[in-house]
Amino acid sequence: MKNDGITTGFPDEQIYEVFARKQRADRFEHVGTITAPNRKLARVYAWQTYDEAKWFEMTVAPRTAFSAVNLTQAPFTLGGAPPMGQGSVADNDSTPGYGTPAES
Amino acid sequence: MTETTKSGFKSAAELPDDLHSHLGILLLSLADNKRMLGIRYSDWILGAPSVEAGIACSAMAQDEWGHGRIIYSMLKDFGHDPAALEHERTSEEYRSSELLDCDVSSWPELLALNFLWDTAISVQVEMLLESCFEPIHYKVRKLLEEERFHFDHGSGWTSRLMTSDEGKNALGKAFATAWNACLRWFGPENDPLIEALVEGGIVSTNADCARMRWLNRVGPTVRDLGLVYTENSEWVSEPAPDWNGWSPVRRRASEGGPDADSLARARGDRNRSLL
Repeated sequence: MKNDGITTGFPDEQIYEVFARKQRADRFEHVGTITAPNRKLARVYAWQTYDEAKWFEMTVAPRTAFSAVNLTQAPFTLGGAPPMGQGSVADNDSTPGYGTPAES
Repeated sequence: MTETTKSGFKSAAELPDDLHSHLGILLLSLADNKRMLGIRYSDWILGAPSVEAGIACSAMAQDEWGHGRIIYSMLKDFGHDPAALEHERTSEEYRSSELLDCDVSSWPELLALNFLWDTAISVQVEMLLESCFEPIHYKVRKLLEEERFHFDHGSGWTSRLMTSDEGKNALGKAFATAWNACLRWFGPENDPLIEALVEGGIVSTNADCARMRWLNRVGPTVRDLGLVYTENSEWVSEPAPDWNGWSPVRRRASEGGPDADSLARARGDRNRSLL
């Protein structure tokens, strides 16, 4: 089941991205999202929601932990990606990046 | 968690009569509690505060029914007919807690079952990890792996509701109501049934040790509800267990049992009548 990041309206909740792999030799695949108020419940919800396979390993991370690399939109945005180079790269990290005034 | 299996009993038939009888009582109590707890979780698949919480209730309901089914099937070696156990008993014959006799009307009450009662059941199951009754080992280990998520769900939600005065008040009432049934689930000090099972190497610790383990597990999360305090780094219950009305055989309040709707659901009456 894909949640696709629907929030529940509770101010203490945030979206978590869920990754899993079936065997140690596999790469992680993005299996979906859940919404949770804390890491403990995020782990429970992820494990109990995405139970379609006998996973060897599953991990969750808040969506805010991910930074856009090449696209102009926030990571995991639905609805198609705009071409590269249009607009500024979405960034949820306040530390200066390469080429920003702080580094020049 | 280490497992040191004593050389023991490879089947129920090898158990001495008293151990056979006592373990049968404990297993039936565990099975009934898991079946009825599964029903209570299922009541909240729709209507939980979030879709994720509802899915968690669905998963926990399935887990509990799976655990119950495993234990019921073991009981055929203890003189029971599993089909009769699952489908033919009256309410008074059930060994499940009075906490599970009817549906609960609020999310905090469900959390009392999830965090306090489910944890109490799991602590008692843990006591069978090192049992010298060998058929139970692997079943118990898998069961406890699943229960870890039940604990985290209960603990995560309890901590969350504690952050608001309204949530904390509601939890306080719900947890206080469930508290005594949890305390006495492990049996009184020197409970003859548990003592005999400890002596026989079937369970690893006596009633007081099991109760202490439960208190140490739930204590840190419920510390602000006035139910526990710490003494020499151990969590202690503020109220002493009240044994009034306790049935040592049913391991619950002697009066009552699952209500008519719960009983019909536990036994599958409505759908079985079609067959």
